[in-house]
Amino acid sequence: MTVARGWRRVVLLATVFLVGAMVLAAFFHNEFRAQNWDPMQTRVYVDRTIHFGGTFYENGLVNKGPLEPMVYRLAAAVTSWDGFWYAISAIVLVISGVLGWAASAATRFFGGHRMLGLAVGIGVFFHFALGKADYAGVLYSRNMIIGLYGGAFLIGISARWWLPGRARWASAAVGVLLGLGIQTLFVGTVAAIGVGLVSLSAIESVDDDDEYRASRRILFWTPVLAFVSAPLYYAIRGRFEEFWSSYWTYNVYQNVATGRSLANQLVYGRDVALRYYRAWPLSLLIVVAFVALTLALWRSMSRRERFVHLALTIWFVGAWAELVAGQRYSSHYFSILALPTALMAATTIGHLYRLVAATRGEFRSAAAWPLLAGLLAIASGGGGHLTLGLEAASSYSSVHATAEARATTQPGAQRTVRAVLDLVSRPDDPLLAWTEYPWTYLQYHRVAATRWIWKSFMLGQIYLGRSSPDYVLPRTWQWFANDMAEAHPAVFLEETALPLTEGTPFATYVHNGFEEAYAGATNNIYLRDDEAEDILRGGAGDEFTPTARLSAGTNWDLGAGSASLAADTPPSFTDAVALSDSLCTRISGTYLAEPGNAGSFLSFRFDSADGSAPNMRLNVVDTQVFSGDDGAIFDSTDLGPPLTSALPGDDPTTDTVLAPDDASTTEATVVPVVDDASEPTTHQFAVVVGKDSAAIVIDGMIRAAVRLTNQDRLSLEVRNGGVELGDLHRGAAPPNSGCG
Amino acid sequence: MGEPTAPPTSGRVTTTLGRARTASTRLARRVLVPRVTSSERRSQVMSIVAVLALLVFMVRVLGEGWPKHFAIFFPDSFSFLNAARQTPFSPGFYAAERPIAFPTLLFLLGRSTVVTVVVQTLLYALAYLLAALVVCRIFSQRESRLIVSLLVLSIGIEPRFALWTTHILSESLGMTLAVISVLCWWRFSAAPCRGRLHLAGASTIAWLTVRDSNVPPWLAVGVPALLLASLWWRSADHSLRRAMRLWGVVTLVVCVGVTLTQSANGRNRYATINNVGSRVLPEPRITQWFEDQGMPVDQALLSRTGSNSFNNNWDMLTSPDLQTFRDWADASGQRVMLESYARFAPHWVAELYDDLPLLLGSDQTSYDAFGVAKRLPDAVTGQINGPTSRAGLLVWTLLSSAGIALAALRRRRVQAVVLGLALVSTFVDLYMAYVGDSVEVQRHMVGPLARMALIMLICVGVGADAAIEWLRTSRAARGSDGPDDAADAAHDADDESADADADADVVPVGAAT
Repeated sequence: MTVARGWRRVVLLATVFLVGAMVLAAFFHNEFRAQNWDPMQTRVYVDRTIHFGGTFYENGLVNKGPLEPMVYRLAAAVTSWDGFWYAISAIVLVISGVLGWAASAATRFFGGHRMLGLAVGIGVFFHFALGKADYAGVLYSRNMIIGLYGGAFLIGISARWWLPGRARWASAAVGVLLGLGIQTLFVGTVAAIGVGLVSLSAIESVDDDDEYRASRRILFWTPVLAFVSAPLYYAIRGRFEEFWSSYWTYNVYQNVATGRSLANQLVYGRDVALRYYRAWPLSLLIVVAFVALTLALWRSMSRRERFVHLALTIWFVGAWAELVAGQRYSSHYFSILALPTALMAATTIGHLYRLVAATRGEFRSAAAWPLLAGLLAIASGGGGHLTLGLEAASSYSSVHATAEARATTQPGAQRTVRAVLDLVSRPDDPLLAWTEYPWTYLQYHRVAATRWIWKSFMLGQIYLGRSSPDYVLPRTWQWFANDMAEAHPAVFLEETALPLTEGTPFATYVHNGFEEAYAGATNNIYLRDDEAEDILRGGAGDEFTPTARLSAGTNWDLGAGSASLAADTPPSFTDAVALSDSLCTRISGTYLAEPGNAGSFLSFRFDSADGSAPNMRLNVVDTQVFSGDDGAIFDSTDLGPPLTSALPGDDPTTDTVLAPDDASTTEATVVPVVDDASEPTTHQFAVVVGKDSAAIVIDGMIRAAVRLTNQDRLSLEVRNGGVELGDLHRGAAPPNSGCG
Repeated sequence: MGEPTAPPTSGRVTTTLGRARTASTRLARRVLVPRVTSSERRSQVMSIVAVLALLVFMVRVLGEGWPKHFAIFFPDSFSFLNAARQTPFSPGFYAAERPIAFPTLLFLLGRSTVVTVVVQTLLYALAYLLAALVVCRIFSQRESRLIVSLLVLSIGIEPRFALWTTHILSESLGMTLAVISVLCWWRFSAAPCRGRLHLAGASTIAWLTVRDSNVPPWLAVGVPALLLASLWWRSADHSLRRAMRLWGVVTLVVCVGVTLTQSANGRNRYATINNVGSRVLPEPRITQWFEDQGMPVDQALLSRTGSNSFNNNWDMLTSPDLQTFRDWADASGQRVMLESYARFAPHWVAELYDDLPLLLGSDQTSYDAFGVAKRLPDAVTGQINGPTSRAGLLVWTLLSSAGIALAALRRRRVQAVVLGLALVSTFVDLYMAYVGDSVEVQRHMVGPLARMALIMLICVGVGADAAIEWLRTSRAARGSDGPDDAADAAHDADDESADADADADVVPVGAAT
């Protein structure tokens, strides 16, 4: 092996190393990055479709073609629930690869060296897979569209696809890709025409007249057929109304709700374009260079090259037209502009290379260009995502471990909601929520009970537009009723920042069938009446005599249905009362609380007999109730005004009501009232333990809840001040708590 | 490569299984074989696979801490940086308190912790990839190639060895250079020539200058072997023997240089103090001998029985009542300590024997500050890539000896001699790493254990390769097992001839084959 060849090999292997690192980083980082707004929304629809069956349009407001949910459905089919985003990340990689390949082909088409094409391809791949732009590393519908158009362009520009006998198939493939793109977003039609021109120019090179004519026909009709396949399919299935309502009517609402005239839309588009190119001057430079080269070389270019230039120009203009017509300029949308711009850059580079190579000959350094391009892409595009990706790749051990690691960092309020949900429903069961976020369903591993996953759909609130009842789709409430009849949700989740809007059929449905069970800082949980009965009041079961965990030397005084500990007993972690030696139970009774004294620190501890599981706790500290483990407090609520304010030396508050803030929810509960807060008060409590979680109900409301892992028993520790438990009963766990 | 195996033509082909086999063979002929028979293509594919494996290894080892989390905290790390700070242009650099190889690397990389960690990880991984490549080049049988190269790689990815690449310490570079020097000597032994001897000599010098504990095994085994071979290896070319003599002398000079410079800077005083406190003083007989050699033994020193220089806030290094003792440790104490390694060898060997289970089985987790172990696969079970217990060491030693014997019997005598010497040197290495310092013994054993595992694996592999070759040749000679084996034998012969073509620059030596 010569030195030059050895050097070439080392450089190429270094390129493999660098690109491999990009791919690895992109796969692991985009799994996280892809969990963006629209992708989550689509996943919610897909999850719903899987759960309830039916078409995508019966399971959500899908205002685009069916391709996007179909791709997500495919991802769900080949992965587990936790591994879903890895499949999406893999698709992002494939699309980025196709785009890089297309750019590489464009460079080579115009005379660029193979290594130069590879270099351009690596740069484009990095931009779409790991770049700093918001559209990089995600799978929005527009990312799919550029993948489709990029694939069509790649086929159109590659000579091998148009060899005799292949042209018809190539035309069909391009037609399907373009048709699906147009079907996904109708406003992308102009861009699709531009892309189609590349293939049209390729057909011109077909010598056989029959094949030539057939290819042209196929190229024209296939997109049309692909486009109309969706409405036809839904019409045949008898679901055209749902399809049309989402696909067309809602888009009309979106169009008119901005209140802009056509002139205003154009002016707005001009302003955005100016801002965009101020932020991305390199893009402007590329476009100017492309236009200049097109004009300068037009006469010297072949007919096919002219076609490609024309196609890119139309594509580029079409992309802007799409943005202007959409009237929305979210940063993710600009991917449709980024691809034609990247291809313009690839084309320009190809031209420039051909011009330079014509005068000075080939470059001996060509083998190093891909490596340099990769390094340049990282340096100019920012290596932040690459670094995060490598970090994720380094620490990855399994999908399950990643999910568990994320679960440990969940906010406390989220843990509480999930724990309560697990007491009345199972993963993938329906959840009714009044929300504006797609992750509400995903973070609790539930499916949306209604196709109207956001309140905005039911209130006529249009994204970046006006709100009006006129923008509520026809038959919205009929379909909502159908959804409720089908889903029969056990839980309604309300965000305290977005309270339920009264006067809607949604609110009526909630008021008529749900009871508030938990009032937290960020969420309120309402349980369906039967579930609320089981959780909040439940069957008391049989009276039982608790035992001590210590075989000897316990300070507890234990009797039938009672347990007490003297107030002057020193705190002990080991001298605990055994309330249950298994999960799936309901321990209820009363406890005596005296501020700063008796019952001022009770800890219901979930642990495992063999010590293999971490302790989980539901603690009552005066009037505060906490969920947590031995090292952290997850979440807390307050029973009422703090009893400690009535300690000796303070001015005692009289007539303190130890009840939830919302008195309407306490009708069925005993509300203790004390004249002097320093006097002992008896509270009713129940620790409701399901298969995967437990909650403490005090005075008729859930006050705290905690998820369990592999704990298998329940004990009571008293850290401070003794306690008197009475009326202790052990009953059955709620029916839907996973204990069946 | 030979032609693909011909499809069977017996009556059994009429079965469904037979038809499937025929079809797959046809497919392999049409699709796969044209690709894999091209040695260029195969080489490219293997290179890419190796690069991707390298990438995955580096990402797993370094990715989580990349790029800002490789803080240094070992006192020794600062000591290396201090040595590097003197630069190779200063005479003090060569007599600094660290041998020059690792400080030189630090100097070349601008004393950057992150860059050094990346580079030494890269070098470490490349060394083991090179080892797998050399295994594939030297072994003649595909089974031994595949299995031994995989086992060699499994040594490289063992967390207890790989974790050292994340530290600014000489362990990683030491293991890297040990692998390279072992490979160079093995490659030389498989096809001796001056070029390979020069490579082996140079790599040995690099290895000797990375840690001063590498000097004794080479001094005890390598130098005498080279000098004796230069005199007695009659079948070797004269120029080769002269080159061996030259390298024997040069490496001897390097050994002396490393020893003298390390003695001059007084760094070994720490090891001497540690050993006296924790190993000499608990043994009255040895203490008496040390006293006879001039060690000032008094009540103050005796009260430090069981201590080392780290204990009680460096009490043994700073306490005024031990000043006389420290003066002795700075002067003749280091020489006396060295003599004691030979004088009390049976005693120290017995101690080493007792500690072997702990030392061999250590997973070094206490040094795994960057969590490398949780990101790399667990060590291979069953000790199949090297000993991790006393019984395992015995078994591996016996198997290695058997492998060497087989190699000697099956036309691999030079390899047998070189590997036998390397095997002996690993025990010297092990012994010296143990007795050299009573503090952080497990850390000091890492390099010798990695080297020992590699050498033993090669010894066993060479034996296995020879045995498989012998079995295959005798079966082919008997002609009793049909055309498949003949084709295989032809295939192997082709491979060997390909290797022979690649080794065209080799000076033929009769004893080598």
